[in-house]
Amino acid sequence: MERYQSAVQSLTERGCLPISQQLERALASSRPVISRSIGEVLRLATSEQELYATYYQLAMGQVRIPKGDRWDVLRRVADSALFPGYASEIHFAALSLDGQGLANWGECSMTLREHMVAHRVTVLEENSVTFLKRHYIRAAELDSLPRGYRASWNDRHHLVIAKLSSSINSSTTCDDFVGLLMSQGDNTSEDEFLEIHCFGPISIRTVERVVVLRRNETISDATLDALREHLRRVSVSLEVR
Amino acid sequence: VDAMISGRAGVALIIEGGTIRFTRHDAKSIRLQLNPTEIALLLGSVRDWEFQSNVKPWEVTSRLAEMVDIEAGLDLSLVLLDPGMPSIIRERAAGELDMSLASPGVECGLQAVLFAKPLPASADLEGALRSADTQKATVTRTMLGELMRLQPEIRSVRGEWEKVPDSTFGGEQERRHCELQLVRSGVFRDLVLALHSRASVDDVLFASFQEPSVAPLSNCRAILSSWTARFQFEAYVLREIESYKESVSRAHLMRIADLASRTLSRSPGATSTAESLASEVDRIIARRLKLPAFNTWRRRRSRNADEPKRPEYWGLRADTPLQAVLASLVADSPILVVGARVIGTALFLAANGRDVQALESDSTVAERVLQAASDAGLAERVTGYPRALQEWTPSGSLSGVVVTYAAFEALSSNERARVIGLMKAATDDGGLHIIEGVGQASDSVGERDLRDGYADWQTSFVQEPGSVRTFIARKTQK
Repeated sequence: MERYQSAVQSLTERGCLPISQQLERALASSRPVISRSIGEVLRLATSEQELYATYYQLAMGQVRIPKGDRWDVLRRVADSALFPGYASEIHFAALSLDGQGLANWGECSMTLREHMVAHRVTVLEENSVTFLKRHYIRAAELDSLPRGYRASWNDRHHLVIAKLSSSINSSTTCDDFVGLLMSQGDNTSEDEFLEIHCFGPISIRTVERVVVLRRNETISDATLDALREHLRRVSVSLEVR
Repeated sequence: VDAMISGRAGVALIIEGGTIRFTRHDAKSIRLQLNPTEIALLLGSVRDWEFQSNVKPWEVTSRLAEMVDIEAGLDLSLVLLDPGMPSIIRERAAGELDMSLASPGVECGLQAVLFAKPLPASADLEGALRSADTQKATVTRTMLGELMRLQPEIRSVRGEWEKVPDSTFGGEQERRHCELQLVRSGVFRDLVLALHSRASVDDVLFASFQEPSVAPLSNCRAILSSWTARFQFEAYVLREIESYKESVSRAHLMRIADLASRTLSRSPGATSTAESLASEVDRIIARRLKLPAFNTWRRRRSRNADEPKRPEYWGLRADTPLQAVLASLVADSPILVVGARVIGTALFLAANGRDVQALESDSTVAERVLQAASDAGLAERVTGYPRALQEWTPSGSLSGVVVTYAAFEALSSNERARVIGLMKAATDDGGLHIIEGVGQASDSVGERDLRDGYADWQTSFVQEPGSVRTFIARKTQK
């Protein structure tokens, strides 16, 4: 709250309070968005249908890193203590105002239904590893993060204002909100966003909307049509951009 | 580089020199170092990783593209088979699948999955064929036709797979992991095709043992043997019947055919087609040959297969210390075998499921080891190194070393110490060194040498018949 109050004070002094208040109001419609490949979204969307599940399950297994020294670097990372005991239960998402997620992680952005996840998400100011580095925090100290950088779902607007206050100025308009909240980098390390940790399972019923970014011709028309049809049956809308 | 590739996610992680990079199939220029959260994110959500060791970066990109194409082909196939999809989408899928099947590796990769399980009742193969016809998608139609034709064999292969008990795999998760590797490497598909064309199941098994993802599977041989036993039995019965047919006169065969025809005519409801007549002829011949039932045949085969596991089979003593220590070896790494008893020892260990490196300076003897291994069906277990002991350097870690002391006696004391040092360093924690034929006298050079050389290991001597003993040293677990 202290960071938020000091941000509000700074915005007031610079005459930017009205636009920041508009941003706070707009944030009420922000949602967690998970990015995935179209193949993964199709698998999720058809997981309750016998025909699809029969064959998709055949190709799925547990991650088993091969034996041998050469895989040690991967084993160390996989065993990383970032989220001890929780890694398989955490889904990472980004906070989005327009349903578009981080495109570097997949062409499909799945917006999660607020009422199904609000009680099991936390919002971090930025990518967690960048955050740990910036604040010289060891992974083992994740349970005692400095106050003011992580928020519950209902307090996310405070965190956003605390983070973005210095980027809001007299020329900021409502059209800038989407880009302020999330900026797509040329690569994953240049992405700017608020990271959401969602605990527990995600199914297609947790999703309210899918946005497909058609960057090139790698997505087939039939697959896209089929995905739209599957999503329609579970009342999930699909938008192609 | 080493790589982890996921076709479903369309990403590859490239591991090189302690760093991990990331590439997406649709944005080949993105190649960045990943942070641990991002990797945890990928590891947590993606379930179809394929691991590749020691490959070139372009090979990773190429395999990623192939895996993505296979996954896209699978999506299209399932859409095409889905009776709940509007026909216009199914027809579009048929057309796109036709083009997709032209990409290298796609048809093979798709068959690997689609031939691994029978089509569920909810699949509409007839409708899929109609959609392919409407689109004039001939390649798709051919693939669907084959899928339809092979359903009996697919059911059979899957049925036998389900019968392999979980305990053979070591648990349910291990079963799942093993299934994934066998599906992905096409072993299910190859078995289905072999059964359909009455080709050799042994050839499929031999090829699968060469697969980098299949060979390291725990208890791989027992699993594959149990899975394919029924097919091998059927092949055995067929062989015996065909041999019988070739050994008797045409008139004799005609008499059997008459008998078969009479039997069929007496059976209520039986139809006398050429196929049913041929089956009845085979049944009569099998009865006359007193061919064993499947369970009897399997018991006999298992007994015969166990013979090579006995030391006496290889000319070793029944109470050889090798027998006792085999069970206590902890790691899966190979065992190095050197010295006078190299053939018997190497094959005994290989028959008991251990990988063996046989070191022998005489190239003729080295070749004999490999030939004997090949004759015994143990070729994949034994690697031969035709070189002298003092020239040996480890090629990886070892779970044990078996050597006759005489092999050391040809070395100078410095060479002996150096070689023993190398062997010790290459041995896994808990690994064993067994040195046979050490002199009896407690003050012998051999015993002193060994006690000094292995001062930091747990050691003991086992008395052998006569005046020699076997020295056993276990590397202390850290």
